[in-house]
Amino acid sequence: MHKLKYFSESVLAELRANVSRNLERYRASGFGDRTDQNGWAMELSAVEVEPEKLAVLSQSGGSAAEISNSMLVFEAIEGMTPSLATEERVWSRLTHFECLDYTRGRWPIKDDPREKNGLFDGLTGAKEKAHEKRKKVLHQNITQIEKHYFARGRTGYRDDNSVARLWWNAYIAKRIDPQDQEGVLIELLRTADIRSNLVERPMLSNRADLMRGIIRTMRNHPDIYGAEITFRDFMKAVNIRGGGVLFEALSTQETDGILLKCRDDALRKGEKASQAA
Amino acid sequence: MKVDLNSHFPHPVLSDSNDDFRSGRFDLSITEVRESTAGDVEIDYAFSQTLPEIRELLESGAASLGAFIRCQDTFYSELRPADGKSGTWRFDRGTLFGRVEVKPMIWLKQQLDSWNAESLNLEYGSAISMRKSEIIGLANDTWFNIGQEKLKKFESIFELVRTDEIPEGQLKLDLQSDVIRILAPFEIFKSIELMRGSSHGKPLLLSAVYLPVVMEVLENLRGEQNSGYESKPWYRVFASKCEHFGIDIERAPLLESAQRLLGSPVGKLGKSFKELTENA
Repeated sequence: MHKLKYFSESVLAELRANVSRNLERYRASGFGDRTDQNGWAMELSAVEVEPEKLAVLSQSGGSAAEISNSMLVFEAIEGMTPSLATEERVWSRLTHFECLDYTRGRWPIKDDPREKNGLFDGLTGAKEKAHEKRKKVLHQNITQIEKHYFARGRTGYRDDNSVARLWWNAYIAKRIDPQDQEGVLIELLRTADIRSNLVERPMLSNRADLMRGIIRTMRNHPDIYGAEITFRDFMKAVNIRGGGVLFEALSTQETDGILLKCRDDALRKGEKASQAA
Repeated sequence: MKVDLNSHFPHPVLSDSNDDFRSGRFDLSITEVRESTAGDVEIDYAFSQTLPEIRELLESGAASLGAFIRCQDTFYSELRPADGKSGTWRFDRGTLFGRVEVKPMIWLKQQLDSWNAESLNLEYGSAISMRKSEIIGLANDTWFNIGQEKLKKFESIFELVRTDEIPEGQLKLDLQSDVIRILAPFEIFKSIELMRGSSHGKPLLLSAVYLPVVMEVLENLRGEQNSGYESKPWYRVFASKCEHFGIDIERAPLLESAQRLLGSPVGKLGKSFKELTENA
């Protein structure tokens, strides 16, 4: 175990300002030569990390990989708290060093298209087209890096930063059911759409009693996620039927009763839509 | 919880925003929010509820009062019942950060059949039935902020300041600012800046400048003289670091404590000197 490192404010600002200048580093050479410099490796005294676990993160984007990666990141960082997990400097340091290979593999940076400088290229307009393409690729690469290597704001650390999002998946799953963190993750991360409907709605995802109910309903009635639209309709029904309900004061059976009605609403809506078609 | 004072309910709710009850008030005041140096948060609260019929429900256990406490940054949300009219809610280290919203409410813990409340608005008739978990009291939302001091690096609470007001060859300390200011005349200031820019210079700098500075800060925090510094922004970071290392500010040996706080820079002097002479 090592002390978890983080960037100083000025290093983070420097990296943010120099994404395009550092493209080659993001693609291949990395930032290893900077680690001894001031502000690149500040240590958190109370949080430790097991780099071996971070080194085996799967670069595949499938649901199974997301689940095991989330568990690995959560287990690899000991002493992390939710308040610290909102800190961009911690996650950016991980994506630029310990998890650079994972982030590169998971969200690859495109190669620059070759420049066209021949006389014929100039005459046919190929030179201009190639220039436009280079600009487009550069823009895509910068956006990709800003999104997955940094962690600005709530969306940045919860949904976008390549490592932070994994930790938050596991943390939210643990809050929902500490006894069955991995089981909850399986439901939360079934599809990107389900994650987006459950995790990216803080009014919902932070209400453990209601989320436990939704997970139970998903397990007992898999038909609610049989089609993307059915799950969305189910969530709409939860919004309508559960808007003013204090689930925290209800029993498990009472919560399940309300959610079952939401499931019926969604299935009925689906049936009506298919009849109309 | 999509409920606020503008929400409409099909049953009576004691609240400032409606006249479902002809008398009675429900309020919450957060009297103090404390953050310990270890990061735990304590919130002192005091509820006031003046309607006798609801008081009876609370006393009989048919209803509960408390608050929905929500922190969007840390995805925390919990319905916290109150233990009596006033008390303290405690939160573990790191659970809350940034804006924390508190939504005070009274809710039913059981079904209420033919409830008869004298102060009920006549529109509701003489008796009313309500389901378990219905909200029957809402007070104004309130909120507070929780800071994040632990990420501040120890060195970030120190600031080197160039001054012409002290003689060359000497350093002075100023503890009255938001940071601990190390005052240095021009030549020393320049040398320190040079050392800062070199990886070999850091242990030299920590041993020759910061070590005595930290000892003096510790000395200043001892006894009654520390009272003036508790409100300074640097104090929390400094005290937090001491607590982390188990350093008793009042009694711990100064030199030993300063070395621990700075990560034993003296031990790195030999290596640093060797590298400096080899690169000279």
